Amino acid sequence: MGANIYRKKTLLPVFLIPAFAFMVVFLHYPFIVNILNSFQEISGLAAQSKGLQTPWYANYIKLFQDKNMAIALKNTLIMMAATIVFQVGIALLLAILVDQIRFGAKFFRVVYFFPIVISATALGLLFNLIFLHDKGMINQILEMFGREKLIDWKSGGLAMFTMLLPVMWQYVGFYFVIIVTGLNNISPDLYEVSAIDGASRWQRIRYITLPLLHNVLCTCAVLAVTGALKVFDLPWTMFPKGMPLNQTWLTGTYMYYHANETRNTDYGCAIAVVIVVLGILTAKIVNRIFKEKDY
Amino acid sequence: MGKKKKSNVWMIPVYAILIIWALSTIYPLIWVMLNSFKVKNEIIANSFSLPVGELFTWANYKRAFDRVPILGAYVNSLLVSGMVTVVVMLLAGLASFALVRYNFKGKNFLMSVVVGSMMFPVFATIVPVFRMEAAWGIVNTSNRWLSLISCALPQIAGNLSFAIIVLSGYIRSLPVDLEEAAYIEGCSVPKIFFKIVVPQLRSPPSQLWRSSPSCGATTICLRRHFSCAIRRSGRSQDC
Repeated sequence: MGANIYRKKTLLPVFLIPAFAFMVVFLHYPFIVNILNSFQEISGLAAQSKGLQTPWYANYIKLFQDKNMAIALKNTLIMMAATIVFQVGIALLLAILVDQIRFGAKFFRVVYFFPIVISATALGLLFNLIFLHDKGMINQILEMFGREKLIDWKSGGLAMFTMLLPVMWQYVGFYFVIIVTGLNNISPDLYEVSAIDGASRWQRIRYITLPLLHNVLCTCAVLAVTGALKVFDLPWTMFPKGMPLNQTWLTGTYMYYHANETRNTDYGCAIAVVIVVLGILTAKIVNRIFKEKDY
Repeated sequence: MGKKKKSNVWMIPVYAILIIWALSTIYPLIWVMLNSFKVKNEIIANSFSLPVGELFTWANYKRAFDRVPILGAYVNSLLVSGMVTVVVMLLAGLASFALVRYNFKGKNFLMSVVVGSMMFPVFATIVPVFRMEAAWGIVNTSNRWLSLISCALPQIAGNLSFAIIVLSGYIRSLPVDLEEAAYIEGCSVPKIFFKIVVPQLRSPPSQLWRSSPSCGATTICLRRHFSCAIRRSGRSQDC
């Protein structure tokens, strides 16, 4: 850095402006408009505003009284906790295991990435078939094992589980790849030294691998939390409109529902503001819990 | 790694776990693929048998091609993700090059703007973006290219921040010496970027491809027509 060639800054704007202009026009400006819209009365996506709400913060009062919003928030928080524990957890386990083996490591790396490459809408349909009440894949397997009564995977108590499982399963590969890259950056010398000192396999993982992965895991946790807020397509294809009985709303799906389906675009905007605020807050909290360390 | 020859027994549970997860990622796809060759009643009657002989049928595929312009949908997907990838790679490459190599006021601020932009869910900005694009007159037109572009533009913006973070990590790890040598030989800065920096970045951009399948979410919001091809097989949908 600071090399002589980069002293002259005449070209700097040329490099920076296109990318940042894109982000300002398509991310930051829409978000500000979004905040303004949440105070107005708009019915329909491309409709004109009918003036301010009375009182202007009416949508936010509605948010606090809305039972479905409370459900959506609760589900999203569950989703966040589950992503950190299961997605990152399973990915970490698999990555460490793949690091131990000699044959087929590459094969597993490719195969674990499959679910991410496939569009989430297609996966939603796939899981609809798998969890189908009448002759879905899982119910057929259970039948083969002699179960008489079919399980309705999308009914009340099981709905959350059925929604979380595909989402968890899909993104394990994403964190897996990040963690594997982190594992590859650990110098083999360290393992060799510890092997000479007589460390067991488990001790090597506990005292070398895990501490050195700390920063990678921290990045994963932030990505997982923000990712959980954005989950939309899989739940929407599997559980459209919060079915059954408004139990499976997520902040993302609930916002879409109001913005597009009920013609309460202004209310959808208010929910969007909540999503972003929640995202920044949780990312800050996660960052504080898993502070990045330098070694 | 240590050369332990006697620990082969240890490997059995390790492989078992890995293979079980691998099966879970592969099997659902195979199940669906096999069942796509059966008629509806047969799927319900015996979905685990192989589609051979009597069971085998092309009818589903015939119907998919007859009823829905499914090839057109593929072409659209390819065009959109192609556009997104190319533009994101170029712009993010330029921006991260500048952010890493130059020292200037507000650099840290810009970097935190990039990180902050990762927080925006597509759905938080999709409504104003739609209204904005509607005002420009590029959504819901009969012009296919305009529609495709209207779909790609917000995708580009959404993927830029992630790409900048990944790419600036890579550029930081490249040696400056090469660029300095090129400069002494009389290479201009843009030339340095395209001839020296970009060729060294071959591996990370390929990773960015993976973000393009996530188009689905935005596509549903912006262009319902695209997604109905996929959706139709699920429920009866009026699109």
